[in-house]
Amino acid sequence: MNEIPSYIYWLTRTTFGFLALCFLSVAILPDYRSIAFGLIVGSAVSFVNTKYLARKVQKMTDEAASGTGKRFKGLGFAQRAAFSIGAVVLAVEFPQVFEIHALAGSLVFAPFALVVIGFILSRREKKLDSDNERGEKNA
Amino acid sequence: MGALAFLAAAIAVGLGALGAGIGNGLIVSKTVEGIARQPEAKSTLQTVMFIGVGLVEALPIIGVVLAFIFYAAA
Repeated sequence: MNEIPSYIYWLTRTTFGFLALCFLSVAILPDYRSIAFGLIVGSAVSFVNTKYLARKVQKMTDEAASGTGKRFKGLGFAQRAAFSIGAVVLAVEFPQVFEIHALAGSLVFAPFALVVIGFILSRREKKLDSDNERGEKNA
Repeated sequence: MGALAFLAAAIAVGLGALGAGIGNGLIVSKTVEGIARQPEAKSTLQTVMFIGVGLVEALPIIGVVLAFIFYAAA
């Protein structure tokens, strides 16, 4: 079974929840609006970058498993870096709208969220496995 | 400030790229090796590689962003 789609599903839920919180804070705390906008743009860019990476990793491992011997050109770092720089250019050009430090900090939102999601999913899987084993012993 | 900012940008990008290049190379080579040895473990290896590459590449991306900020400030 392929596990990456379930990771992407949970990452999407987490990111959208975070974005909803940020939009709420834009509405509730107008003084901190630029920080919230920076967080929104940074986490959205980070989410898109991670989805792109997932696609590339899947493609690469599928080709490695198929054993066709085709050359793989890379994991698309340049595109992801360019996308991140685009977001930072936005913050440099409009500093009154986007807080640059919040934006730069939230560019690592998705990778760290992925680690937490991986930890939770693997614990859940382990628990399910141990429950199944116990059920088999009882039966 | 000008020359030092450029130096800071160069160090941030250069060292970040060096570390990430070595790290990514190790991750990808070991994953491909593992898949070639055990194709049935592809799913697990794929997931570990996804998380690992995501974490490793976060650093150079932040390095590039910081370098751009230094460059804009210079």
